[in-house]
Amino acid sequence: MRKNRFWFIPAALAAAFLFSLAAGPAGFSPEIIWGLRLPRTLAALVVGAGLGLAGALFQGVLKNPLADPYIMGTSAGATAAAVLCFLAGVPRTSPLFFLAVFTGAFGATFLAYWLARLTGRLSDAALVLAGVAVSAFLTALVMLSLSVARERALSLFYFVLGGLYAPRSGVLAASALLAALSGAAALARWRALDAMALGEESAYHLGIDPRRERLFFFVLGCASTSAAVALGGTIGFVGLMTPHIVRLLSGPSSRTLVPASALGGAALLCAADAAGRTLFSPSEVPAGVVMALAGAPFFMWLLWKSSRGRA
Amino acid sequence: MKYLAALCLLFSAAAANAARVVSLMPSYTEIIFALGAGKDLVGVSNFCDYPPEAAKIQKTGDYLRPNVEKIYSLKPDLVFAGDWASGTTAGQLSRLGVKVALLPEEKSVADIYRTIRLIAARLDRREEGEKLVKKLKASLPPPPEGKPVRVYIEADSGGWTAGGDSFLSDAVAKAGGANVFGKEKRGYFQADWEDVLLMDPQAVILLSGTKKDFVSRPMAKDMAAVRSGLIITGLDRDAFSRPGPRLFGEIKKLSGLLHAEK
Repeated sequence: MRKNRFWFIPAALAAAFLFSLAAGPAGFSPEIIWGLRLPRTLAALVVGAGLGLAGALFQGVLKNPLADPYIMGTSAGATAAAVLCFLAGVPRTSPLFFLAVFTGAFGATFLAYWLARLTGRLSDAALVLAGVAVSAFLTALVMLSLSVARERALSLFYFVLGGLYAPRSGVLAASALLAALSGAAALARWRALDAMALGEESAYHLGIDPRRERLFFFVLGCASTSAAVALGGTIGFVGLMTPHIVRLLSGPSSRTLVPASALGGAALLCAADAAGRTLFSPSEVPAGVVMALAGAPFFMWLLWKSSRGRA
Repeated sequence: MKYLAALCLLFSAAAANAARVVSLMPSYTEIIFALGAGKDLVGVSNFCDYPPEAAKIQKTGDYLRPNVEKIYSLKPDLVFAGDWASGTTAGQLSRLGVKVALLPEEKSVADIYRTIRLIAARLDRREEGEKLVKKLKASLPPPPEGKPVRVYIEADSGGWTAGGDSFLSDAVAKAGGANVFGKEKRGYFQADWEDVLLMDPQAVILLSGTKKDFVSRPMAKDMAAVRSGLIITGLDRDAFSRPGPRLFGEIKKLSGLLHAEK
């Protein structure tokens, strides 16, 4: 019965897509839709899909409902690496840029995971705490770069704030490819992800090497986060919210949850960006701010729910 | 019928002549009005609030990331934008076939004349431009005699001040002052309070905040400006911080305040 409702997700995506193409002060001019709104909408879809996918992978592989690239420090690592690339003059379309962003994301994620593991058993709260610590340091690095960089401080600031103002087609194509590859690779191993979601011990008894799988899905989650950050900067809460919402429609199996999270994340961010553009037009609210406004209360609700579950 | 046709022709000719202009900076808007071309403006940034007529013109968002779609929907013949827009905004607009005039940042009072001339040339109002420049030059106070007064400019709370690469520093010099951070080869930056104290300015220009708050900062009471009471809060914040025609009136006012007691 649950699977029957899967079609909700592509329908929501189509609605968000059309809303994003239609929303704007210039009406239905084909030039505007083609030249301005479509690139921006596509960027929102790619960033949203990358973050939704990363959220589903992290939550599944860590068996932690609070895991998310923003909370675990993955996004902060990617952003810090991107900012350093800007300062070093590495162009945003070069493979080196993506490699650096991925390295930042992966390094931060592993550091947070390792710190959380120090206490012995990996608890939900420990991972969040470790993520906060790693993010705080990396964000401080970004702020330091911002205050040192004179000329480009403003464009850097807007990148860090997170938004989809004027995406560049080269970055858009590279990010879309990276996110799609991560998604395909994750889907190909959905059984392993399902086993990991039962807990590492159960996974081990099912004949799966938890350490190898964890590494594998970390790499994929970091790769799709990197795709999102390279294109849209730091946007939080998409990865946290999406799997929880789409699970109600797609069911818990990774075979449907992984594609549903990618599609759902795309729909969510696309709608958030379109709302940010129309709410206070002609000024725009960056999509990252809209997501934080919606996502932070959701995070609080999750915390409340998980504390009640334990009591 | 004939008359009607003639009338239509007349109107269409008039419409073709009138340019549709968008200004993305408050200072450009003020200059365009001062050149007598205010009625050509069909769009201005959210911050363009002077002259009062400007507030009634359609808004196009903030000036760092203006709403490109809104600008396009106004069908402008020409958009005046600052250098900062050279990347994304200007690129998007020109791809949509909108003409953009990018004006370099003003780093001195003379650069303001340059901006006025550039805008006047694009609007086919060179004569008015020259007249305006002449009028503004004449309105400057006479070059001060003797040693200039050491001035600290606080543009915003938290120590945001102007370095030597800014028109504010030059404006202070034209008023017979010397910016204490004039040797800093940059535009705007956040100065450390300790540095401000070390410079011991003889006058302070506060564009935000109150005199009372400034005087009660740690160790402020030994500063020359605090002892002499030369804490200037009377300048019009917008007029003084925009590189436009109103700055010149403020320079004159500042000159009077700096040299009142001597």
